[in-house]
Amino acid sequence: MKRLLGVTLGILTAIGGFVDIGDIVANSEIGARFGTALFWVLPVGVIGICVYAEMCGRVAAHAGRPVFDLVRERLGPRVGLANLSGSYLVTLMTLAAEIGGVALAVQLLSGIDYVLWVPAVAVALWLGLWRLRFETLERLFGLTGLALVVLLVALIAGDTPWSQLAGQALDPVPTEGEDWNSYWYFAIALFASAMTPYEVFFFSSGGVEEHWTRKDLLLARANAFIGFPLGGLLAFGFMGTAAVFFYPNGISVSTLGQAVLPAGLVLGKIGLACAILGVFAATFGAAVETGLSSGYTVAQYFGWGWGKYVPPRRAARFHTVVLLSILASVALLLTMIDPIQLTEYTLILSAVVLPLTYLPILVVANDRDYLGDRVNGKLANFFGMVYLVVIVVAAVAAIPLMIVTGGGQ
Amino acid sequence: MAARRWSIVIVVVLAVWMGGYALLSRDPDAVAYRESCVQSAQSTLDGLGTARMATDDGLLSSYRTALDDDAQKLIAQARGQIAGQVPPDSRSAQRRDALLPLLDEAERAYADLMRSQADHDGAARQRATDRIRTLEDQLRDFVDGNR
Amino acid sequence: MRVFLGFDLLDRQILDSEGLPVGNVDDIELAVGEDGVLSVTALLVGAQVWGTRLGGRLGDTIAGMAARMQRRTPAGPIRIPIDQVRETGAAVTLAISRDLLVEPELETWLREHVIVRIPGASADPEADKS
Repeated sequence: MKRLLGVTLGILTAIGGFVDIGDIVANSEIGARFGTALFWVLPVGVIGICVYAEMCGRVAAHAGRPVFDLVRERLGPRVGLANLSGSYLVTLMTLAAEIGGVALAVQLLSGIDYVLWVPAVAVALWLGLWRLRFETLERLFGLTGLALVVLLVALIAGDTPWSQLAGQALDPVPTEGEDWNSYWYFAIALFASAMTPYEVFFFSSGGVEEHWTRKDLLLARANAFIGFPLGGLLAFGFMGTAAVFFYPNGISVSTLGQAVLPAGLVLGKIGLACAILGVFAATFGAAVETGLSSGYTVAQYFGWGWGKYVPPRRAARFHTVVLLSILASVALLLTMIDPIQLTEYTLILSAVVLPLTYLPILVVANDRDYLGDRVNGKLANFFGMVYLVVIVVAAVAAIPLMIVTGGGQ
Repeated sequence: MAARRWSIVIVVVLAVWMGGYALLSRDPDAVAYRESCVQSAQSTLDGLGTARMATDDGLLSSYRTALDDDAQKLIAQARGQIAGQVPPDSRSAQRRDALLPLLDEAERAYADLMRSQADHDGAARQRATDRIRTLEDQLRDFVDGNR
Repeated sequence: MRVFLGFDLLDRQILDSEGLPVGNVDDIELAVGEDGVLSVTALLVGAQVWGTRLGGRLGDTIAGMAARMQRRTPAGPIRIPIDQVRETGAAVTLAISRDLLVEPELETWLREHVIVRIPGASADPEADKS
């Protein structure tokens, strides 16, 4: 019974932990402009991250090394450094976007401008990483993030034209006023929001730090294969409600306030409060993961000590990188850049950098030196290759499409 | 050494690729002006529509303040997008002449809505909301007609 | 004695006898044996050798900076004799604890000048973690 509780808790944490500011922004904006015409990207992205998380988990359990560790070894120090630079930069931007998201959520509850909250959020984040047990953080924010289910509740409880939504989802073409350029541009952004690089760094590093055995691997797989899809469902709550409330009126979404508005309209103050709380928890949790991941990438390349359970005194370089990353994020946000716009740029840059993250995973997962006979089977390689092609195509198309559509107009 | 050559090749290819795309899709002035008008109308539509939806009483007051601020910013942004730009030809001037009254009306309607909320005047709020709904339709038509 | 080939070792993570990270194999030291065969005599860890191996202007700049900033004597990278290596797998595992090795200067400097200054640095939230 206790074991079942632990497993359930793990899965629930993973569900709430899947959603971050990128998912919220992408799903809301796309729901308002395309209705559910881009719905298909969600399952594609979720399956992709499940496939690669499974590979990372296997590498962590059988080789005992996180994937990024092996990047330098496999690609050499020069290419490995290029990979590190790209990955680190995008992780840093993501960290800034998440902190911005937390600040925006607090603004919605307090009425005080988000910029004033940015330093407070950064301090809270840093203190949380230093002083609190990681499990506490993860559980707290993962479970509170489940409050985002209120968007789905609003969708179900409200006057939702289900047949219309379904019809649009099954007709994946640009909606009125949109062309194929903007369609694919947003498809790439949505895809990148599901396949966030830091997610796999984090998953893989966690597995190594916790010394996953085969038994743990089964559990980790369950967390990923159940948690990620259900997390995708939570994210869909934003797309669905935007499709119902904003799309028919031709109104586009560009603020966090708009993204959570449907919850308030259908379920009143309580619904709204739940939605804002859910956004707060999801983005704060994501900030924790991204902050740690920014340290992981650098520390694992250089062979330094790292870990969420390692106290600062015993891994000074790793913790300094995390601290500097948080400070750099605050500096970026204090330039008054709109956190929502920052999120949009970060998503597109993530798309460009995705091959750097995922190609090494596929290579390592096929290496018998690390995994013995636990290398990828035909199924894993099939999906891995298919997704790698998709990832490369998305990476190549991202910047040109951004230029042509003027950043989505 | 080979790696270096390859990286140069990749950079050059990327630069040509991106540059080509950018050049091919560069807009002449009139098209750029049309896009500004459309964006301006869309911003106004976003701001007005959101403000209208947010007059729901079942919302937290701090939240509504934030939402109203966002709406106001959008409407101001819309004005800023057109101000200072000179229409390059007569068709563009016609577009501007169709858009500006809508922007003026939008600002008035938004102000009335905010006032009715502050005064807790239900009837005035209903009137403002109705005006806004009409305006939203007009703005939507403008956007659709000028894409 | 096992012969370690260069590419088995380069850029691998080095772990000590307890599995704690020591660094990365930034370079290896080779020597010519009596029979004229090249063999690996030590692992080298440090920014200087990493910079040199990286090559190009960036690598040389980093190597130069690292050399200038070093205060430990004798100067040079951290050297781990090859006979301290217990096994090589996904990582290189040593037979000794890392307490017996020189600590990288950057780690020491950061701990003494940055980490310690922040309140709560010595607290160990995971002290009771099994």
